[in-house]
Amino acid sequence: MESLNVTEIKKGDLIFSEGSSDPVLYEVEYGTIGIYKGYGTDKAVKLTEITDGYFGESGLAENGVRIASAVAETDSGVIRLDAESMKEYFTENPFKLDVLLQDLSRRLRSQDRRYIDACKYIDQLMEAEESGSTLDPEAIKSMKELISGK
Amino acid sequence: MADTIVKFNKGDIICEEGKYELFFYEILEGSMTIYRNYGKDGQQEIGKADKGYIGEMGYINSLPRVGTVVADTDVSLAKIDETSFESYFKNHPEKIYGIMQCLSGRLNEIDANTEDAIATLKVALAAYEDKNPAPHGIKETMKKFSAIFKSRKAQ
Repeated sequence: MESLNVTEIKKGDLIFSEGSSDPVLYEVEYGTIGIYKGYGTDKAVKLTEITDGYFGESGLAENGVRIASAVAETDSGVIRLDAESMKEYFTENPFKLDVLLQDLSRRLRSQDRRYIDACKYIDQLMEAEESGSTLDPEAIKSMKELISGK
Repeated sequence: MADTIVKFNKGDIICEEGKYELFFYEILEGSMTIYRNYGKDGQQEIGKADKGYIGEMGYINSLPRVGTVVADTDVSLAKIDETSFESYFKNHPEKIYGIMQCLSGRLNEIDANTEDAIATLKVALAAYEDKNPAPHGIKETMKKFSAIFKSRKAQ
């Protein structure tokens, strides 16, 4: 099946851009993929690099819009998985579905922790304002780390 | 392994808020409403479902149920747990894309919520460090996020 072949991508190629709608999941076979916010602008920020596993899942959601751009940092090979090819691919490789779901689970848990931490710090700031108390410097440090993405 | 089909009558409780349950459901027939504080003061409707999956976050993330799910009609569900997970998708490979869509939607939602919360935190912290009250415009948003934290802390 053509979509299960490895697609070769050259260093610097844009795989998909932020804001596009493209219901395809990608698996990295080799190389390095950079995930960026604001790619191509002077506010571009690299969020992460992927050398193994999957990327592009944000485009799969109903009415999903890509939340970041993916760019080949090196010559790379990826497998493109759309709705049809995903069926065959994960039927033939059920352990890969498990790996993918574990990866999504880990990311959901990690992001959920960041979300609840942000909510906790907002709660602390509200209480400090209401009571007139001073926040612990460690708490402020933690807030700044969360804001900066550490 | 055949699918495990479970049925609920209108008005039945399908899942209870705060419980840890290592399974989720595919909705085959019927519709349901999800509530926070169901049956108590402060009961709040947080969503409805008549297709797709429910409870998948509890299964995949080992998190407690975020709400109580109540059947609005007679309901038929396919129950998927650790033992039936692989066979369910082997029997229904066409559903793999559906669960991926569902999880992708959850990830997008939590990414957006986290971005909003962090943006609010940034403004609130800047005001605190300047020894100013939080800007009036974000106070309601801060209350929302504070309530979310308190609700999760209570689980």
